[in-house]
Amino acid sequence: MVFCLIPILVFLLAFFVLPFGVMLYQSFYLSPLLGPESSLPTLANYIKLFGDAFYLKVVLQTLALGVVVTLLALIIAYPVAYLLARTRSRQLLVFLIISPLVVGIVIRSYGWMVLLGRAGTVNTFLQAIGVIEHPLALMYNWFGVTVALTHVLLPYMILALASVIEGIPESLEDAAAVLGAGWWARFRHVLFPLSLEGVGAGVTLVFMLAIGSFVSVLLLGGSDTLILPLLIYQQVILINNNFAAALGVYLLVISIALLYVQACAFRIRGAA
Amino acid sequence: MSTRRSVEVEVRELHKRYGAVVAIESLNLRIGPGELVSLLGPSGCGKTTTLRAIAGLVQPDAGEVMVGRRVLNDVPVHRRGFGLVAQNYSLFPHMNVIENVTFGLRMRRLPRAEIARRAREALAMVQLTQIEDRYPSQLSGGQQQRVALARCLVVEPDVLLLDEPLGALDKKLREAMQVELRSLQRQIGITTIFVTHDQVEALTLSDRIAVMHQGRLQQVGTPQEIYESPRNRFVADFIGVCNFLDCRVAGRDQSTVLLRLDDHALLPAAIPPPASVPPEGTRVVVAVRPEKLIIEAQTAAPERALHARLENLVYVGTAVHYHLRTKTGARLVGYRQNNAALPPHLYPGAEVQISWEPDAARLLE
Amino acid sequence: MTAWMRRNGAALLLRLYCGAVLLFLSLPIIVAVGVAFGADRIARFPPAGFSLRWFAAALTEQTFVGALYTSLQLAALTTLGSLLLGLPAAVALGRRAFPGRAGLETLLLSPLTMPGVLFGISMLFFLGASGLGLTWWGLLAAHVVIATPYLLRTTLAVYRGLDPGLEEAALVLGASPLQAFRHVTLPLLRPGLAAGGLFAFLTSFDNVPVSIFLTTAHNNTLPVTIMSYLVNQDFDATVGAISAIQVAIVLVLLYLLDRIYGVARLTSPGG
Repeated sequence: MVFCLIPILVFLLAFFVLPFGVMLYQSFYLSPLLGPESSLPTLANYIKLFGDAFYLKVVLQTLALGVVVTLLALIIAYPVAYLLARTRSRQLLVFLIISPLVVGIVIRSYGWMVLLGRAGTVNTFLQAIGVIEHPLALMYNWFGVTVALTHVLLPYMILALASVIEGIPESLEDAAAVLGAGWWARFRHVLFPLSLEGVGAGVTLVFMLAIGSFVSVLLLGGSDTLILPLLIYQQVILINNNFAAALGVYLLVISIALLYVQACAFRIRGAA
Repeated sequence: MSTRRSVEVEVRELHKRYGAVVAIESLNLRIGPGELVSLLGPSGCGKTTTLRAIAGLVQPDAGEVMVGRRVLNDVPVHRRGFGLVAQNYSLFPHMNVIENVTFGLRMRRLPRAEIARRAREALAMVQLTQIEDRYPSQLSGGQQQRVALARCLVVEPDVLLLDEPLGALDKKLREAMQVELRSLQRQIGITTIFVTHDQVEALTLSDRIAVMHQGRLQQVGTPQEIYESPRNRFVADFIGVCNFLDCRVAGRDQSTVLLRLDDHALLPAAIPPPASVPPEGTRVVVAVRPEKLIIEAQTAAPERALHARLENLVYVGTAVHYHLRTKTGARLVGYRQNNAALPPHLYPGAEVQISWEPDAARLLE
Repeated sequence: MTAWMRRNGAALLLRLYCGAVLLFLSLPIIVAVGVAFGADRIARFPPAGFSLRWFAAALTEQTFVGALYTSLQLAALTTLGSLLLGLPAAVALGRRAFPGRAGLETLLLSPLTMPGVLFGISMLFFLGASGLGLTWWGLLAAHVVIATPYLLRTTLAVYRGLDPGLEEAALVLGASPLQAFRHVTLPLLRPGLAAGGLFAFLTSFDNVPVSIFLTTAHNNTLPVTIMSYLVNQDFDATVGAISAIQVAIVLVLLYLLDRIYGVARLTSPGG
């Protein structure tokens, strides 16, 4: 029976684990274009990475973006998750929430570009009704990136929260209501504390996805919205593969740490 | 159904534990050919584990499962030739009735004509026709149960294993099915092991009952033996209602043993097999069924009666239940069949004297 | 405010809010599709005029059509690969716990949350270092790695929800373990396999972070092609048209997924 695991394990070993190994290996070397001294393993890439304040800034920006997007997603998603969890006929609701996920990141980004551009829908509308005179810079900056990324990750948060809220019996809220609690009190004293584990799971998931995504940032960001995945992409384009590898290892370590946190959270809750 | 030779099933020194929990301990049981034996006990007593061990779904840690003279321990489940009906019937939801029923035959690759014929016979035997194309979700509980039975019997198993098969049915249907099941079993003559926690069901259906508690076999016997002569407190208490009284052995009187209760009353009990009476003065417990109590205002020999006060009487239609309390505070329940006018001397608060026939009481181990 | 509104005010507000959020979620898609119907070359929403010529343009543009074909082909084979790897794995991981199972599951499901860009560059370096080069097969292998966990997850969920008594009943009735699997377990696993397969298909079809490093001028996938236009700030309405076609394909598949498996069942953490 265990033999059934062999195909997938062999495949993953060859095409998942091994590539990461190659990346790790390459991070300890310098680019072969630099000449013969590049044949020796070196920590030069890491020294550059940790030494230069610029890269520290990039990492901090990445984490900050992750935090902001995660919090926004949490606040926006919670009420929707609540409605989803408490609704009986939720086919349509789930369909609408999942559709953006399956349509794909490029098309969604394209839509945002049409909406947020200087001559885009939002600016044209605001100008038409006289709120602004000159078009706002809604794109190619942190605003555009935050909007697009929150949009991408919102469905994940909604679904994660909804599944947990579903597990909280509605009778508890009813009991609280009978005892005189209004909706805010019910949320603060009953719903939120009981959903905390799910909130943790959702937050971990969304944060991991946030710090790893680069398509939205690439398309809707500008020259100053540099985050780690985007930096990695740029370095590869510039054929600084070795340095990109070091950056990749850095991101990988952060991701594995978060994966471990996520796994622990699930183990506490029981089987995923 | 073709007549077949009924087989004997035997379980020897069966042991099974799950971690620190002992599911079955030192179980020895023999089920004779064509017999219906119930495994009876509260949940967690090991009866289902025993059944599954016989079926081969559970591997015992020690001991043997035997059919005829053959040890089956190493025989895989699908070669044992048993029939099993579980509590939830386990009908294949993606197959209709006829596909469910013919499943076992199809796995054996029997010719199509034979499969069709046997399926028809099996369905007729459980009195289910006209529903061959329906799916399990479209059937009632009773119908599902019959399909499960037909599916199981059509392969002509040597042994029938039933794990609380009537548990999911409502009372009236359950009682009807009990009768049907029993007559079907007798008609085919198949050796059957029936797991239940319902003692009335066990008493109704079984040739013999095996009472289990905490993984151990407490007593095996016919329904009458189990009810009239319980061997220990658990069996006496689990089957029906029973009064338990603390007393001391006070001597012997011909074929009965005399017991001293409450320091004054001298009452008889049947001598327990193997007819050895504990020495005088030993503390023992005597068990008396409520319907065996003789409750009177005055007896001919007051020193041979237990003095008590009638605290409460409850009228339940077919009988009257008397709740009594002795001078030392022991509580007793007596039943009296409602086949005559209620005796006037038995009213709440009355002082009464209780006695019983010698063979109505049992000493417990 | 009437008593009704005061009582139901919170509920009404909740529904309005959720409607707004759902609108927010759907907006870019509506825009992207709407643009394709415009008469102007420049993508604009609401579109000026009405025309279908961008669809015609898109479907005759070789780059797009070729990319669409590549993406479809890739997605189909990825689904097959996921099935071959994922189904045995789901059955092996099964219902009974064994030491190391949790860790193994985490490993097998890890591509779900691992940043795609990391895997993309790793594959790039790996294919380069191993001398295999940027081939179509390398791209396929990468897609299978990221798609299989979806199939594994849905199949595991369905498998663990099955009543073990069914397989036991089959065994007792005389079916060998293999027969029991074939006749009882497998048919009941189909919804999980179908759902997982569709998810795998969509994952491969939509993928950018991994594909962007592994595609070449010869093997280009549709989303990467669209992206290169967008990066070059080409907001052609033709791009909108090809997006609309992709959206149509994907929504049809999602609808099929819903019919087979029930989308409402996908409310599990992990997206």
